[in-house]
Amino acid sequence: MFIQQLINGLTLGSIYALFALGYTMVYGVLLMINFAHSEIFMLGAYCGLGMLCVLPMAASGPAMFAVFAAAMFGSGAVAMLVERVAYRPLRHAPRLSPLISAIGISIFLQNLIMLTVGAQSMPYPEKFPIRQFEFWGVTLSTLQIFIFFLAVILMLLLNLFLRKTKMGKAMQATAQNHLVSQLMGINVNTIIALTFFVGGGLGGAAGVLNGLYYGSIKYNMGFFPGIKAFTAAVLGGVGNIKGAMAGGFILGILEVFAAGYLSSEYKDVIAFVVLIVVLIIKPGGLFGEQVTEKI
Amino acid sequence: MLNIENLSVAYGKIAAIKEVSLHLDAGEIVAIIGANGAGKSTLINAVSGVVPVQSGTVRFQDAEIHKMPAWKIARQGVVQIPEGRKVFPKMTVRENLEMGAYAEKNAADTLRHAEEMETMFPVLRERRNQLAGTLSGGEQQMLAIARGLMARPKLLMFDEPSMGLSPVMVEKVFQIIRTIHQQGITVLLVEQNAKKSLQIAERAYVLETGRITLADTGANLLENALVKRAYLGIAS
Repeated sequence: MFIQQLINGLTLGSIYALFALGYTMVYGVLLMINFAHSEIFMLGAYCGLGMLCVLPMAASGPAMFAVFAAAMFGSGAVAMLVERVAYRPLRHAPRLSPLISAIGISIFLQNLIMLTVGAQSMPYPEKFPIRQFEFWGVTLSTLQIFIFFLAVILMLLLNLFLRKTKMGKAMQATAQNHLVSQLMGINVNTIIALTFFVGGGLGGAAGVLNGLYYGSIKYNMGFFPGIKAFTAAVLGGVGNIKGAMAGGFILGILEVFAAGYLSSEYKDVIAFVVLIVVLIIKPGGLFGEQVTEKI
Repeated sequence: MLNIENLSVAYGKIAAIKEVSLHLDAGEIVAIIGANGAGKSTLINAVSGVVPVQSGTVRFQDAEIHKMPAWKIARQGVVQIPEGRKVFPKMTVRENLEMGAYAEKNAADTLRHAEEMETMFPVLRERRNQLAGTLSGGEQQMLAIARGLMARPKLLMFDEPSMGLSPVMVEKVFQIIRTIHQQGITVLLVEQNAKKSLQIAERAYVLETGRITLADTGANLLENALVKRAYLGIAS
């Protein structure tokens, strides 16, 4: 029972962790919560579905790659576009304005998909055969293994990008100080757009994983996972990338445990309880600032 | 090299600098002195493009830089070492240096240059992998200067480099500025420490409530009665 819950929790946590990165990265560079990120996640799932439907080839590695490439690129591009039209013009406005703009974009994107694709939930085709392993009374599917490893690989790649590439370091610099970054010759607008692209792309991948895991998608599928991913980001300390990764896994495990040991009705309650408790007790998150800054 | 003509900057309705004109020739070291709030930092930030210019022109080597975004101005070779150091606290010392050379495409060249900086500032070699936020104020100032030099500036502008440093460190910073100038880099120095600035500057301007009130050689200004009374604390 415990091991089974842990496996399910890690699977769910992988999706939350990928999803939470978009919230935390954008907060890092702009100090705003991109509430439209849940729709970027939803769009990723739809882009992935589109690719799954048009792909003529059978289940294969390249086919899977094409599905994720389409979802990540599509989501990243939309996230970038959203930043350009809805947030950049409000860069120097009071902080409430971009927040409201984000909610507007969120409603717009949901309705766009509802009107153009449909209000019904759509099945995610099982093109890729899923096998189940059973041992010690625990069931583990190849899909769960795939979700976990894909999420971990993407997070490792993100970490590598941030630590080793010039663009990644410029992203860190921009998160620390816009003004000084400009003095270094860094085009801050480009870096912010790139942040939306990368964060959006990871959210899109999470959307496809969510579709594969639950088997169907809908225009409003982003709402609950969005709140949970946001909670994961808060849990890890908003703006803290490794915190968001850890927060995603912790929240996924907590949720599954709540469903398993209390009642499945409590599945969604737990995320909000965590959110409220963290905000009251440790608003900086579990992994708050470690660096003491000398002035 | 740098020509500022009738430059005005305002924050909302409050004018910070009014119709300021000044120039720097290549290879010069020029100081701008003035009291707190006289508009010194505003002037330097307007040149860097981080505060919007209301009217007037800033030309650097025939390019009208006041029309450019800040990051492009930096890539022209007009580099500022900001007030209060402002190193990237959560990045290592080496990464801070790399950010200084952001516009440089050649990674090998950046690496070589960073090593040169570590030779010039040995403390940066000792602290290479330490987070910049953990350095002392003086060490952060060394890092900020080295980071500025990483951009291979043609014009290096210092905004209050001695602020908040111990007397020994202040001495050292002015020594470094002199060395940088001797290496052929044009220097614009904005300082409250009028005495030290006038001693190393070839020419200097006095900025008072947003206007230039005096312009002369550093040596002459050190002897000027008004300057002595207002900025050097010497009764005459």
